[in-house]
Amino acid sequence: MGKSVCITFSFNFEFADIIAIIGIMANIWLAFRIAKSIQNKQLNQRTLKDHFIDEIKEIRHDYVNYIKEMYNGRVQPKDALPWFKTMNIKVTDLMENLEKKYNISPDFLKAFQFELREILTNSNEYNANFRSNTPIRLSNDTIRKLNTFQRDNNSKFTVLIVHVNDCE
Amino acid sequence: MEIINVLDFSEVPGLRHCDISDNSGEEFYHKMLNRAFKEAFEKGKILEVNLDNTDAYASSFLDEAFGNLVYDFTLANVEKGIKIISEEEPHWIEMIEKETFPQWEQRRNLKKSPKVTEDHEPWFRLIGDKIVKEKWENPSV
Repeated sequence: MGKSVCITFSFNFEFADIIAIIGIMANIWLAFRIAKSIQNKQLNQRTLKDHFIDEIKEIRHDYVNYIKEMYNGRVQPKDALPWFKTMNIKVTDLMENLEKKYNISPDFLKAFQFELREILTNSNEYNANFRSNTPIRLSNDTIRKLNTFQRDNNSKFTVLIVHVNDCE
Repeated sequence: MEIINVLDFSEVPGLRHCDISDNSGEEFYHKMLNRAFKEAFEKGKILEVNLDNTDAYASSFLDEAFGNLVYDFTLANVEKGIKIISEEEPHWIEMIEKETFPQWEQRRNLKKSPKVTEDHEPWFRLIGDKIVKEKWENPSV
């Protein structure tokens, strides 16, 4: 018959040991909570950045499409002013939020809000077609101005997205 | 304070002159703004002009309307006597105050008369310290 060995562990806890164990458990719990909080905060920041980036992309899409319509002679003079007004309000709202959150200049997209509108509404062909509200066929001069505008400003949306993405 | 709303003139403001659009800046000035400012000026009150709630603006409408005001009453008097409200598009206030006002004051000093494209009723102009009502310009043929 084999011999069996029975090992008994006995722990004698002092009150101080109990306090120490509770302290260790509390620290583990706290570390977990802090890590979770940081993770949530980073997730929230990322979610917010993605939201703003989506808004920027949407606005870019709207302007790009409208400029195409301008080139293709499909813009009616009396529809242009309310369109620019709506876009101005959208862009102003977005840029105010970006300024508050990431300290980005609220004038960053000013060229699209104002300069683009003036290129169209100050053109002779715009004025000539206003009363009849006939779709505007852009003159060569206006097309040149529009080409220059795009060359100087189209990259601004990408730069803005990068700014937002890179901000703390 | 006296208040006028551009909306009361038209929900759909036009362009600069009467000969290119209805509800032009020229028409707004001659039918509404000139008299309203004169009355407030005489009472020593500020005229508040509310730009909100219209369809939208072309810059030429606002430039013509407020520019004529400076030409007829001088920059100093207009700056003291007017308050522009534009909650929907605050940038219009900046354009009017920083571009229209100084440019038309310069025009006034050079005596480069405003263009009128319609035969308007006589309107008010400050000559020295007197307000005179006359047909100051005629449409060019």
